[in-house]
Amino acid sequence: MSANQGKKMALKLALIPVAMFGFGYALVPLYDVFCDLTGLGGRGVQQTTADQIDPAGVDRSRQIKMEYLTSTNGDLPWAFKSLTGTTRIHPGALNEAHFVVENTSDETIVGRAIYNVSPAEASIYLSKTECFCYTEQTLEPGEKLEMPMRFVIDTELPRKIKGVTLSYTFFETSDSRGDKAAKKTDDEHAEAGSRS
Amino acid sequence: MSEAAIHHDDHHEHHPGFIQRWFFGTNHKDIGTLYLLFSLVMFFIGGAMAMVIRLELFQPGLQFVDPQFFNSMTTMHALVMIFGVVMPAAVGFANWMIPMMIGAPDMALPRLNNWSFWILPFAFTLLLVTLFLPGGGPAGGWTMYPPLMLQTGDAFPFVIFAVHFLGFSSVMGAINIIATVFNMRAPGMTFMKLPLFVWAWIITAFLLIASIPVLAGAVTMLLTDKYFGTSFFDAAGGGDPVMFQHIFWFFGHPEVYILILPAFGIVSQVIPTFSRKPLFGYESMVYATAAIAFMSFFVWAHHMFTVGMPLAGELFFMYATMSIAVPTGVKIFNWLATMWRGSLTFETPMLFAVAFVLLFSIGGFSGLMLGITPADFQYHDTYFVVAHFHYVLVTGAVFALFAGAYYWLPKWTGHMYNETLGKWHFWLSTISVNVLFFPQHFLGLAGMPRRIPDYAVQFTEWNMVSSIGGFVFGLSQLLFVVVVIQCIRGGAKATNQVWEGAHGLEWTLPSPPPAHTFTTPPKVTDSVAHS
Ligand code: HEM
Ligand SMILES: [Cu+2]
Repeated sequence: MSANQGKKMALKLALIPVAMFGFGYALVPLYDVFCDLTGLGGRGVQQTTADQIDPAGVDRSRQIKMEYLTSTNGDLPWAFKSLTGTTRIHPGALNEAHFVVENTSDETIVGRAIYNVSPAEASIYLSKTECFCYTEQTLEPGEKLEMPMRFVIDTELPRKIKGVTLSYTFFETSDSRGDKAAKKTDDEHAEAGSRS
Repeated sequence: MSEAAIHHDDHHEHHPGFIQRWFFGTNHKDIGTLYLLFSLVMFFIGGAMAMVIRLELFQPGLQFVDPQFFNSMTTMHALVMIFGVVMPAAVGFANWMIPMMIGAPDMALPRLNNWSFWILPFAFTLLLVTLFLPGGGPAGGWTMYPPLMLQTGDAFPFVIFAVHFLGFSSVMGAINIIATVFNMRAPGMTFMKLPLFVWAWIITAFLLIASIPVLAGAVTMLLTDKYFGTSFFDAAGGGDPVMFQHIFWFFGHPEVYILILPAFGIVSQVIPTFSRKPLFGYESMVYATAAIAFMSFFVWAHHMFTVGMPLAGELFFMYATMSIAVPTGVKIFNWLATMWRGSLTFETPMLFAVAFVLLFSIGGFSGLMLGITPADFQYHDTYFVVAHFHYVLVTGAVFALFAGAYYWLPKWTGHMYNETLGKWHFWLSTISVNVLFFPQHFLGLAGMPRRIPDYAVQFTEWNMVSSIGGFVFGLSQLLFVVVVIQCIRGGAKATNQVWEGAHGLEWTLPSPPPAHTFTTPPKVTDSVAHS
């Protein structure tokens, strides 16, 4: 009935927003767990070694259509291509795809590739024995690099999945150029502003 | 007012001076007035931005503003209207009415109340000055998705801190409201006798304290991603921009109910008064409101059907979204049933309330269409979404706020407002708002994307119609200002009860009520309890 009780209650209530602020941050690890479980964002992909693959385990009765997408993020001046076109593979067999990336600028740039798998469900059935992703690549001006990727798709892959797309995006990680990129957007703003 | 201190009146204290009263005062009525006036000012600032948007969209091509500025207009318009108009107005109503409705002398925490309000002008100064910074205001949309939002120039930290302050303000306001209703009710005012406006606000307050901090967390992550090298949303560093959308909409969908529940509360007061009948299905109204609020935490991903979720996720969020229509339908049904065979009169508050029921339903239906996952793949990010949320927010939330303002203005000022002007305001608004937003359904279905300053020529006609509706709607709102000013200045004397069919404790008080009311708790009888 009194204002005093009101104050006590308000202090208790204040715990809810504090907890919910924490919950916002707790969503981050929860999201990771969720992605690992569902394979969203390519999280389900496993590392394996060539000798763990059983040549007898190849399922020749099925063919999966593989496609490889490449892109670069922002204005990273790298030309990034897949040398392997659409291929048809058998579950259980070891496959290889080739990519090439070239630094088309006159600066040394460090980049890193991030991958994703579509449909997400397929990523749990994908194992890589060799990949260039997640390791930093340093390219001198004009330098060209060929990168292999070897993988196997598990025979347990659900029947309804007929095709799998692997997509790779190169992000720039060098900081020195980061400033320049930021400066460029500022200039662009100024330009846009002057037009009005 | 300052001379009043010399005269003796029935209060034993001095009347505070102007500065003392309006800047440092803790009286719930004065703070309510401040909130409402602030919201009215922001309504015109946000409205001016909308006029810029509609002007640019009047015809294809770029004529008046450059794209960067256009996008900062859509971004700021939304932030101003959501956080500067609808939310503060709802808090203003709460401050004025809740203590009078439950028979309390003031809010439980008057000092905090003063803070909650005065943070707002400060936060909006931070937000609005960004328009004058190099690089301009934020232009990444009110939803602030990274990586686009992270490309904001100097405005970035201003926006983030403004959002933090707004969050503080509304969380403090919400805590105050809960503490007031739980501890300050007059004896005999049990929970199931509370007017529905009070119920709607308790539930809104819980939504606020549970969801706003999640937004605060999300924008803090943006801030550290930009300046402190974290990679919550940066794919190159192992983060995921889609995660921002999940966190944002976990706040965002409850937020849309924060905007609409107080409006439901207002309409539930107005309709029984002018139907001269008690509200149909009081208890089901309370439970439906609570159900809507609870469910609103489990539907967020209907805003992101197209990001690439597993099928099970798409289905879950589709069915969850659809099921919110059930309690919403209960409410619509109850309002209609309240009017059924009532002796209806159509004063301005009732006109706005009836228009609310009809037009909000249109927004509900377009919401259902958007909630169908495969259909949303077509509608997403088109003008159809814009039409949807303007029906629920303008003809929904804003119309209910108008209904409430006309309904309680005589109580607040002691004068009747000008009914003729009020009706003009209503009819002009209602006609023009439909001219403004209905064609946007067609534009969206035909594929016109939202947040774009230029468009393909086949969209021209409906955009022109929409813009004309927009200009008329914008101008009509000036009538409201005239009505409010006239009503503050004078007019026919209002009785205590004001409206023949009004019931509840607030109508037992004089109009205008003295600064301090219910210093001794009133007796709550069934006849003065909720209408
Ligand atoms: C039956 C009830 C409702 C349903 C089923 C519903 C459904 C939806 C869906 C599916 C979207 C996402 C559309 C898209 O981006 O593709 C949406 C957007 C939106 N809704 Fe609703 N809605 C409902 C009621 C409301 C209410 C009551 C409000 C506010 C008062 C509201 C405000 C919004 C807003 C602001 C957006 C757009 C957010 C943005 O992207 O900027 N909705 N709604
Ligand atoms: Cu929603």
